[in-house]
Amino acid sequence: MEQNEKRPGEPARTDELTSIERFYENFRRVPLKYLDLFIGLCAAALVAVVALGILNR
Amino acid sequence: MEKKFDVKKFLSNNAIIILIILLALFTGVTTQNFFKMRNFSNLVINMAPRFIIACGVSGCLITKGTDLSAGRQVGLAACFSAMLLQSVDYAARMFPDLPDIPWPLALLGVVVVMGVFGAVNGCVIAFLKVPPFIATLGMQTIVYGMCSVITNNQPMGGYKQSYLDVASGKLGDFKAFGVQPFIAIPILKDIPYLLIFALLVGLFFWFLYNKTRHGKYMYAIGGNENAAQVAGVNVAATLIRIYILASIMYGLAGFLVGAKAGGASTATGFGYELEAIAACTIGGVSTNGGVGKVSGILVGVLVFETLKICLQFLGVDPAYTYIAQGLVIIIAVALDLRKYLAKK
Repeated sequence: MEQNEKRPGEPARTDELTSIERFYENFRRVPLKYLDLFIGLCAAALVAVVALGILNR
Repeated sequence: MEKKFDVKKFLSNNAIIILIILLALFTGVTTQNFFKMRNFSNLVINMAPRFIIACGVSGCLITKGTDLSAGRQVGLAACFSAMLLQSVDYAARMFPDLPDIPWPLALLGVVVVMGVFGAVNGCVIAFLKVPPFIATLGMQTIVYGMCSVITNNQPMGGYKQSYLDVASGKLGDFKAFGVQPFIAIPILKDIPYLLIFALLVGLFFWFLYNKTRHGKYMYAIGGNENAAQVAGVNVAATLIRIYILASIMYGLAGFLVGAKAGGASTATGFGYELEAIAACTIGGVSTNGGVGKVSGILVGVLVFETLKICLQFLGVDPAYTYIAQGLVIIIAVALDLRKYLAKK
C-alpha cells in the first residue's frame, strides 16, 4: 500500500477541505458537553437580552 | 423494539424553535392583538419575500457555498422594477418616454437581468474556483455600486396601481375575463397574493430538490464535491444553475419587496442575505453542505420573523432586536456544529 494512499474511514486531509469544513474540523477535539454549555449560555443570553429590552422600553 | 423518545436530543435539535414559541406565548399573554388574524396576515406578508430569498440561498448553502450578494441583488431588482413600473402620469418619472409596461412583462425583464448576475457568480465560483464567500462579496459591492449609479442615489416611487396590487391584493380581488372566481369562497378570498407567490416558489423548490436530477446533483456536491465529480456529476454546470436560480429568486423577491414598500432605493434589501442565511441555518440547512429541506427553510423564516414581530409587540428597542437576532444566528450555527461533531 502506498504511503500517501487514503484508508477508508480516515478523515479528509485539511488541504482538501473547504473553509467552512476547516472551521468545523477545528472543533473536532472539543467535547460535546462544552458545546452544549456554550449553546445554553447563548440561550440564556438571548433570554437576558429580551428581558433587558422589555425593561428598558 | 420501540424507539425511546430522547428528550435531550429533541431539545437540542429544536432549541431555537422552542425558545421562540415560548417568546410568542409570552408576547401573546402580555400584549393585546398578538394572536389576531391581522397580525398573522402581516407575518405572512413579511415572510413571503424572505422565504423566496432563503430558498434561493439554500441551494448555495447546500453546495457548501453562500451568497452574500443576495440582499443587494434584491435591492437592484426592486430599483429595476421601480424604473419600469412608475405610473405614466407621475411627474418625477425616471424614464418619461417609457411606455406603460404590464407588470408580468416587467417581472420577466427583472428576473432575466438578475439571472445574468447569478450566471456571473456561478461562473466565477465554478470555473475560477474563487471561494463563494469572496466571489459573492465582490458581487455585492458591484451590485450596490450599479444600483447607486442607475438610481442616482434617489429613492423612487409613484408606482402604478396594478404593481402595488401585486403586494396588497388578495385572492378575492383576482379577476379573469371580468369574473372574480374566489370572491365567494371565504377561506380563499383573504389569501394575499404574496402568499401565493411564496407557495408556488416553495412547491417548485420542493420538487426541484426532491424529484429532479438537479436536486440529487446538488446534494451530492454538498456531500462530497470530488466524489460527485468522479460519479459523473457536471459540478460546474450544476453550480452555475444554482447561482442563476438563486439570483432569479432575488429578482422575484425584489419585485415583491418594491411593490410591498411602494418605493425602492439603494438601501432596499440591506442585510437580507444574512437574514436568509440565518433562516436557512435555523431551519436545518447545514452551512457545511449536503443537508437541507424546503420545510426547514420555511420553519427558519417563520422563527426569524416571529422573533422580530414579538420584539416589536413587546416594544423592545431595535438595538436589542439586532442583538437577539445575532444570538439566534450564533445558536443556530452552534447547533449545526454540534450535529456535525456528534455525527463524526
